[in-house]
Amino acid sequence: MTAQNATGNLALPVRIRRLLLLGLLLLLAVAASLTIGSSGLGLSALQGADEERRALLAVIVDLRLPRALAALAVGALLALAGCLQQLLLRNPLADPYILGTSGGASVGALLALWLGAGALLVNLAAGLGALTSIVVVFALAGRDHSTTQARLLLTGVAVAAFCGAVSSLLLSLAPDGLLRGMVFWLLGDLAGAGWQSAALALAGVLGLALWLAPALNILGMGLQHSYSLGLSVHTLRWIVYGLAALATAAAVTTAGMIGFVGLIVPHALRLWLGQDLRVLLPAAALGGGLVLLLADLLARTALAPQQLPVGAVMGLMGVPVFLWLLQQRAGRAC
Amino acid sequence: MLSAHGLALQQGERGLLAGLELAIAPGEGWLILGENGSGKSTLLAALAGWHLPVAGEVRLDGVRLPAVPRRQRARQLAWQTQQDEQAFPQSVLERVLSGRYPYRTHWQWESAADHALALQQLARLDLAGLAGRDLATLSGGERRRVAMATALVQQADCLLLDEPLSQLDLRHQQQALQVLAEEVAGGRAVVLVSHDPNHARGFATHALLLFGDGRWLAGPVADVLSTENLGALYHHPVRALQADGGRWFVPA
Repeated sequence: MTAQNATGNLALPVRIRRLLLLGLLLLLAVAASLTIGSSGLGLSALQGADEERRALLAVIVDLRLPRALAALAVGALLALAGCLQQLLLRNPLADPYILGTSGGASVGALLALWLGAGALLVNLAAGLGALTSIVVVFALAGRDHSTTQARLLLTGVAVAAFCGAVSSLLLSLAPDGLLRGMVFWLLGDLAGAGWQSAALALAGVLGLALWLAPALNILGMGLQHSYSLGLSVHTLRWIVYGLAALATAAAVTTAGMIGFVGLIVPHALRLWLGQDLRVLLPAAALGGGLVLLLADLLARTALAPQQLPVGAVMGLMGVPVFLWLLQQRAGRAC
Repeated sequence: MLSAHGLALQQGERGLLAGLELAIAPGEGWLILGENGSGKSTLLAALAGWHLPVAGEVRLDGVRLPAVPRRQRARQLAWQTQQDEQAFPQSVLERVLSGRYPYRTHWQWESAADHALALQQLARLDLAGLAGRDLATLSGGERRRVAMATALVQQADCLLLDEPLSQLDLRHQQQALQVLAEEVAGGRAVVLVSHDPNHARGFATHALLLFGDGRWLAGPVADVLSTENLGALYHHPVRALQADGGRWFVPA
């Protein structure tokens, strides 16, 4: 943990090695999630009869692979969103859901479920809801040029609270027959999640965020300092907000509300790798994918054949880890 | 190099400064004095282009400041504020290296030359041993020196420094003044906000007094820094003591 060079920063090769280690762990987790499952078909089926082999391949290619890809993309999106949100709000403990993007998505999805829409329409409605909340927050706080950004935070939190109230209202008014589906959507679930749009969003957000990483590093040191160094701070801040909101919207639209990935992964990786976003952003994408993939593996195997909502598993695993991290940092203002 | 023309500043509803005419040339050291709330920091923010004046304009080499390309401005003008926020863990060296940002091409890791320059500036302010420390573990005065080292690493033609000496102990104040005097002698312009008129002795060629009600007085140190002017500025009588071939201002 203390491989530091003379200047106290983790040497670049050390950080790159740790990044590669994360990638390796991710590959192992993918392999595990493709081979372990609740179907009762083991790898031994590959030596078995033709029929058995085909059944296993079908399970792997049609069920496990898309689900693993969805978990990777959603986890990576949430961790990236968390990283960017923490940078934007200058608070290492901010969460991708704090500014109401996911609240908007929930309202959209619940409304669509209530109207009896199919999965595709529900996802579309969730995306529309998220987009609406992004536009509302931007319209209300877009001219907040204060150094504290209090207006952005308060506006986002208020929008989130409003969306929460609307969601509760929808749940309480919904007929019993629909309630189970709505609650499960809110809990977050990767079963049947399409990975394509999430992967596309991930490529876009990660690409742009990485490209901006050197400027974002400066932005994290304060608005006035960034201005003095020649950054277009207000434009850059709204790009960060846009990227974080887009990543959150894509994640929530794909898999519902999965908590804590966006909070814990960036925080833990920052302790391990430092704050340099040129390393931290790709690490967050890898780490977020890894953590959610493992949580999903647990969700679908722990009580097999019963499948648990991955959001609940993530919370069960995540909260203790988060509290432990907080204890570790108790000596420091964080 | 940096000039103000008919500059008027307001903070909220309060008028701080009106009709300021200022021309800061290379090799000049300016000391800005005034009571609390007289608009010193606001003026510095306006000279940096961050705070927008209600009237008048700031020019950099004759060009209106908002029209100067941001990167070019950052190479000519360094602005150190009073607050330094520290939201994320960061080492002293990382912070100081950020001063090289205006010179890096996009997505370039910091070069060996950047590191050498950063360590050199840290050493000038007695911070060489702290390069690897986390900023959060430093004292207030140490953090002020890190901020000043960052401004120096920016290698701008003009340094705007907001109370860089306020939390420094006696030795480090003298050391910092010595560094600023070297920068001024080397042809940089230094604009420094302070509460101590005696800081002028270290480096200043000019002084600017802000009376907080719109009035101001600017000129060479010898003309502006007098017991009458300082007494009027602080609403408290000031005496001058002669020692070491110069004047020291003390409250009467």
